[in-house]
Amino acid sequence: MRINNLRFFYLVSVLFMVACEAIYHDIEPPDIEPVIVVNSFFENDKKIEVNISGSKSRFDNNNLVPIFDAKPYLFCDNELVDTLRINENPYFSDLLARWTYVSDIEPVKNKTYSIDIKADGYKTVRAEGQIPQNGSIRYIDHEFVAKGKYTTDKYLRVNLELNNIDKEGFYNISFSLREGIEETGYGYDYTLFDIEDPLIGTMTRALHSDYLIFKGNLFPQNGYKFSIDIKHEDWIYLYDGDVLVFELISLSEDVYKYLSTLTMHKNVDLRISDPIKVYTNVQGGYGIFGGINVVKDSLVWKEK
Amino acid sequence: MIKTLVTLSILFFTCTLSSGKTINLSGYIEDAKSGERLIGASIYNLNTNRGTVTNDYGFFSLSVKQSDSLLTSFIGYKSGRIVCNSSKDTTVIFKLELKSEFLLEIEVVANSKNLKENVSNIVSLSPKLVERLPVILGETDVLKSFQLMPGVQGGIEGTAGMIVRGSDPSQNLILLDGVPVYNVNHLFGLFSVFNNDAIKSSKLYKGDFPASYGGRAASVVDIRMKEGNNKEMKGSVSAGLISAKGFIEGPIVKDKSSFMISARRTYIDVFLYPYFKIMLKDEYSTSYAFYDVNGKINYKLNDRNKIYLSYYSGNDGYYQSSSTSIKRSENTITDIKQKSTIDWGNHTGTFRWNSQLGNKLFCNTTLTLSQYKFSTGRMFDEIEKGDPPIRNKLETEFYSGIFDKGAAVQFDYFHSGRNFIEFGVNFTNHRFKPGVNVFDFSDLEGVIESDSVKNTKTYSNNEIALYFQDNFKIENILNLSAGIRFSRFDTENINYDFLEPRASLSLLFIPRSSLGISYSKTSQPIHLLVNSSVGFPTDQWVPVTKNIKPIVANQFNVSFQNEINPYFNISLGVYLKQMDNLLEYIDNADKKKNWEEIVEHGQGTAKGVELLIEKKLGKTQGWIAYTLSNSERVFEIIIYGNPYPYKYDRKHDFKIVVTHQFNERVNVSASWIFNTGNAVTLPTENYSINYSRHFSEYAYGAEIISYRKKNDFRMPNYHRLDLSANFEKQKEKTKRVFSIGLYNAYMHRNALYYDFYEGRLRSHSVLPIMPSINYTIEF
Repeated sequence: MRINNLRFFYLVSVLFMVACEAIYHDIEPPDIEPVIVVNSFFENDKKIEVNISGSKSRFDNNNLVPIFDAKPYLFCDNELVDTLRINENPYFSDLLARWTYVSDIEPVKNKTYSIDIKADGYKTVRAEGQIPQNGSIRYIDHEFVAKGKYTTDKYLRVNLELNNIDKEGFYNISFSLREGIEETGYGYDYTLFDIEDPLIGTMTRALHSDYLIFKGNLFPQNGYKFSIDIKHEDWIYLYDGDVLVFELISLSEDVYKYLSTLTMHKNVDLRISDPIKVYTNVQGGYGIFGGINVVKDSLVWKEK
Repeated sequence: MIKTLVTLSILFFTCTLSSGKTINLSGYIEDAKSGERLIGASIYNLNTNRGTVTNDYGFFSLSVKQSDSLLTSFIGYKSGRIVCNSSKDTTVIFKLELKSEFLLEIEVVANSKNLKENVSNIVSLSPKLVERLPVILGETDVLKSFQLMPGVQGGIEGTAGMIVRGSDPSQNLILLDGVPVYNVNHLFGLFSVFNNDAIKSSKLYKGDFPASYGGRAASVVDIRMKEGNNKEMKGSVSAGLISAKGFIEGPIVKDKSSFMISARRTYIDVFLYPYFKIMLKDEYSTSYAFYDVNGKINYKLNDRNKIYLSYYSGNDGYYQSSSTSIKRSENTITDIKQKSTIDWGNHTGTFRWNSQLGNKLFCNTTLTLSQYKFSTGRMFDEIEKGDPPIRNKLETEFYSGIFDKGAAVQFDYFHSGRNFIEFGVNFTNHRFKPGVNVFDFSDLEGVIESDSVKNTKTYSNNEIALYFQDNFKIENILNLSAGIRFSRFDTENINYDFLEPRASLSLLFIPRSSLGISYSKTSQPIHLLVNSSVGFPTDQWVPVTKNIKPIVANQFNVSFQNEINPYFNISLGVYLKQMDNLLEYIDNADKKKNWEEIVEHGQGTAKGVELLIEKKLGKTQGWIAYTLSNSERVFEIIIYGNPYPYKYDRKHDFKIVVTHQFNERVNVSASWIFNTGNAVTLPTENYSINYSRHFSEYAYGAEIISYRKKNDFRMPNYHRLDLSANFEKQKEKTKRVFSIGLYNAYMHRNALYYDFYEGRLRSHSVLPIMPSINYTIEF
């Protein structure tokens, strides 16, 4: 009887040990058919430029590459107006940035632009967008403010004003230290700054931070004054002739959704939650083909 | 078919001779041996075919005439039959005797032709049944037993979370003696905090919510603690694989006052301590422990007044620590110590005063306290033993909690055998501390920087409710319950007011068959922000605020039930539920923001068909439950307002439960569960994001991961078989029960979650098989 009891407890112990072991096994990943990815923010009075690439399975170790043989057809108010041609931008080493499709068409407000893209091995995709109405931004003045007792606590405060804000519209504001390299259009040097504003919110602008985007109904009226504070470590390197550029970018609703979900996607912690799906207006694919409208004001720096 | 009634009741009422006069008979129905008052016991007038059931405190009131024959009955008890000889309003106490567990004779159910409680919406489980059902680690668990019913599903493998008709687990109002318990999990959800030894009754409302319940949107689990045997001392001690428990009850003053205490504690920490001490020599240590204590005393002031005081306390604690020394150079040694802790627990207290006001009116006055607290901490301490020594010590702590104070008065008016009215008022003050981070940085001289950030705000909300419900019966053909609940949640100078109609109608359209229709509107002033899918205590309870709205749910049910014969019962129900103002995190990782800024309101819908076939009598009993259902969510931001399946949306959910009593000493049980796999989101694709001069801050070379649709991927179907056997031995003064069990008996590797690892997709399983043993001595 005693031996039987021992055997029984031995069996229970072995089973318990087995039970405590976590088990994993590989499973066959689902087949994922790649789709066309379209990336383009088209703006007023600038030629349309579109990045076209393909998506890939997470189990594919190859790099993402452009689609070189795509046929992008551009329509304006449903009329074919151009077939985009592939173009190499030598300033970029990254393949996806280096190869784009361009058109000579410069989009204007109140028209709908759409693009159909065909490519071998992919399903045809389609997207459309419009350039939104613009607001305005005005540089008022600037001053230095001390936020502490140390020299490094001295901030450059720039006072700005927004106008013609549409309550139904969507906006982004951004500030850059100098204009950058105009030939590439990609050389803007962004400044770090703080905002402490009752409506826009409190945030420290840092590299890789969220986009400062908002809806027009944030403001009670169509105009609004606010200020940004530039840190000592940034304004100390301003020299005579440097230009601080303040941009107000009107966003189409598609672009607003794309940027807001992109910000959330970046911030989500994948260990504890599902990824946020980035918004797309590309039917059958991923990415964005959306209009923006950029207005700007600037401050040309003069050392006192 | 119908056997003769056995009359074993003791009557207290007097006799006079005035035949034909209608009198009011009121009183209580009790367990003859322990004096426990029985909830839901029926008393039925065989002459008029009218009857009533006892309320939550064992009280009833019924109009009868002299010479009327009355039948009292309750599941598991011998029925009692008496003849009324009283000619004036009388208060009585009926005492019913327990059946021998093996004496599974056919119950005489004289009122079986009458309408019964709608089993499609309301489930009652006796502690005796719960004891028999197979469970993980041998810990009997009432919440897991409810998971075996149609329309109720478990969440993650092995855990006690309940998904009722496609709603979130946080939408279940779980009451212990009338007090809400916020975190019902021990051992990270592996089983619930409710010790079966202390439970007298448990009832789950999936629909047909009485107007007296409110504050949650999906379901009500009403668990009542035992009052304590007022005749003699009784008790038990029990030891299982991971915990031991004890229970004792008895009279303080016989027939006047009694008490009950139960306590349970795990000894996982006792096993782990020597292992780490001997094997790892203090370099690494981890431990986990929980306990819970239930206590209750009652005092009978007189025949019409009784007071109760009940208490629950439970806590879980986990810690992990490590200690290492690193030699950085010939003269420099760095000692590094790290420690992490997680601690959570509930404490509840209830003072209750039952008062019989006249022969028809019963009043229950309750004062309640409920506290839930959670804290987690991390410490990193690095001392470089050089010259001079350098110390960097970082301590972070996060804590959150809820403290409720409540008062309630409820009246039960037994107008006649046909008409039962409930009305009352509830008030609860909630104080929420959704979460506070404390940060300390110190060197050898002490703390040099300290900060408390994020959500230091304490929210104080008031919840006020007034309700009225009339339960009306017409000649055992039609039951109509119509109620209204007015709920007000006031917070931050804003009031959220809701009028919540509750109505149900049951119609006996052919003998033994009834058709039911019901509608309920419910509202919920608190939300649970779920940080993880595993039911960790890190999930945060948060209140409604001026920005965060209460959940509102509307549920509609149609059901049919038929008692085929005294052995078999079948019910079929259809439900449709709409939920508004559900809350989800949209951005978990940005800890700088207040929780109100990183959540989004959404909607949910759930619909389904539930089938339950029960065998309630005989040596072999059990049920088959099947649910065909669909549950969806819509959140504007998550996938741009497109509906997606709820993660526990399981189209098919099938359960078979069988218990068999071989003889007085041996009973066995088995349950088999099959359901459609959970809906999960698999981010299976990569693509590049936009290259733009305006929005290019992190675009260069960046890839994002994506998926086609949220929760579009189905895990494999889930199934498992659990077995248990109880061997009982009656000795002269004690009873010994030896129980063994096997969870997931055929070792099916059910997937718990998926992950991506070195370019592979992996499925993780835990609990492939889990044996359990338990030994109990009852005295």
